[in-house]
Amino acid sequence: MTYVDSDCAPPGGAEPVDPGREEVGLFFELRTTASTSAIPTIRTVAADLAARADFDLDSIDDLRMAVDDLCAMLARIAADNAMLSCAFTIRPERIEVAAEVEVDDVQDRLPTGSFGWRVLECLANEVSAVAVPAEPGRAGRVRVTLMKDAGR
Amino acid sequence: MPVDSEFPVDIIGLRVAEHGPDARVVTVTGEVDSLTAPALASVLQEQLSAARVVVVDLDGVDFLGSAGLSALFVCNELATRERRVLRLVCHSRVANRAMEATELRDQFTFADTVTDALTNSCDG
Amino acid sequence: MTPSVASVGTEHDEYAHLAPLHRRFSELVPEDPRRKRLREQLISGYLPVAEHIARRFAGRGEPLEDLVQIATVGLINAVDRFEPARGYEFFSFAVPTITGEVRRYFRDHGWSTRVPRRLKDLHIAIRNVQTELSQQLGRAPRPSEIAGRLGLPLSEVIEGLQAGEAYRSSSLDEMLGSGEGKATLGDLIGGLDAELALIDDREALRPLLAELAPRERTILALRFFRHLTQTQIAEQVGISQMHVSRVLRQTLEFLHARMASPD
Repeated sequence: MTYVDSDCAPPGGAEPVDPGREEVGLFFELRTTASTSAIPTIRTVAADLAARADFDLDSIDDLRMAVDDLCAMLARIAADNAMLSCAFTIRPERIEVAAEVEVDDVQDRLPTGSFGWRVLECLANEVSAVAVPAEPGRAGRVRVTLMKDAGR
Repeated sequence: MPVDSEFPVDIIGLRVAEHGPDARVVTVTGEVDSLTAPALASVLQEQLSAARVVVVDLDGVDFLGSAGLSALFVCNELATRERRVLRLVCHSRVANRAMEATELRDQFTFADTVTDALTNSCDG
Repeated sequence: MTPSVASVGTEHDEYAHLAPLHRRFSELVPEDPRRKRLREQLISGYLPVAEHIARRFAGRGEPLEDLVQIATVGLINAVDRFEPARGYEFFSFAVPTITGEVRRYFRDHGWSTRVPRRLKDLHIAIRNVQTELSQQLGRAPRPSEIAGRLGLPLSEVIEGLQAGEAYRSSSLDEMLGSGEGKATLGDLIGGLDAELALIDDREALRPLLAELAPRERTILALRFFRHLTQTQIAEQVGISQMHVSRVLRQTLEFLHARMASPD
């Protein structure tokens, strides 16, 4: 898993004084093998971030479910031994999640017709999926991006 | 007779209790996600084939993801098709939120308590 | 491991006289009155095992006699369901069955007393205020609103929100324990006390993990679940190896201390 500090992190970034402040405006990314066993951790992190960003309790639950759904969806279509990356950007009153996985064949891989996708549309304020075709030296990928507001 | 899923009790708990020859109560605890939803679905399907009334107690559910919602939905359809009764008892905040947010709440029949669910089902 | 625990694959000596009874028990038809007597003999004979297991879960807020009762239910299930013809020994079947029953009891009763009193109270206070605020606001409250109502710092409310969830379903400790958690029946034959110690530690670890800061938890998970080296963790988390080492040492010291003396 990888953490990448953003401009809002304290100087040096190594030992923040206040863990709450550390994560406001933070961009950070989790990287793991694309297996279902990693998903509980990712969704827990998502809920953790939302709580620290002062999301209302329903929105915290929604984000937890959405991230679970999103990662499960991507894990299902992932190529063998692919990595799943899930990046969170915490902005004022909103969190953006961009998750991505390598797939064998980008064609017909967008999961937008599934029940899970419908659930995702209900839970997130915005959600979209793109297929990134393979390039020399790099497999094709499917990327799903979602935005969740802090509350009503 | 308690029936346990093959999952460690920490992740999901599925217990089946018989209430007479015709009714079963399935108590679900823990997390129902893509990993554990198939276990829930198979327990519910099994009970729906064995009993006329199946009550699903979701009070102890800590997480209900789309796979879990889908399992409940599919079993609910099965119950309707087979003229069985599937009733949910749910005071779990997260589970209720999941059903509300996905607008699936109206699809299911709820009872306030397990006893209510059994009584009403037997009358009807 | 105590000297009374036999090596892998053999029954415990003090229960050796019970072993032949299982076969006779399983061969009798349910109506046979001898079957009932054998069943009682088996259950009372193994009762010390149920008590032993119950004691391992004592001191967590549930009265010992209740735990013994629950463990005995597990023992009865084990006696009834054991099939000697399948070639397993009774202990390898009974120990997971009995511990499973006790653990299920703890799970169904929510909190373990290993969750610090303070966090438990906090969690309950948050739940009460949450309902109240939801009605007033017409929407779910935010952690800051809960903090305002309770007159507590935001960080404590976040901790309290996580506490309930973490006790039941800390995915992290599930991941940390996933190697052992998926043990098969055969794996569990490796000694009664070793198995119990394992369960005991995992149960104890769970609420403690909830007390860690997210980064400490991540580092712990990377080290013990992903089996990364300190240098690899340092690279991934973006801090120095020495810092990783310090965090790991402090975290483990904290866990050891807390497990040694709960609360």
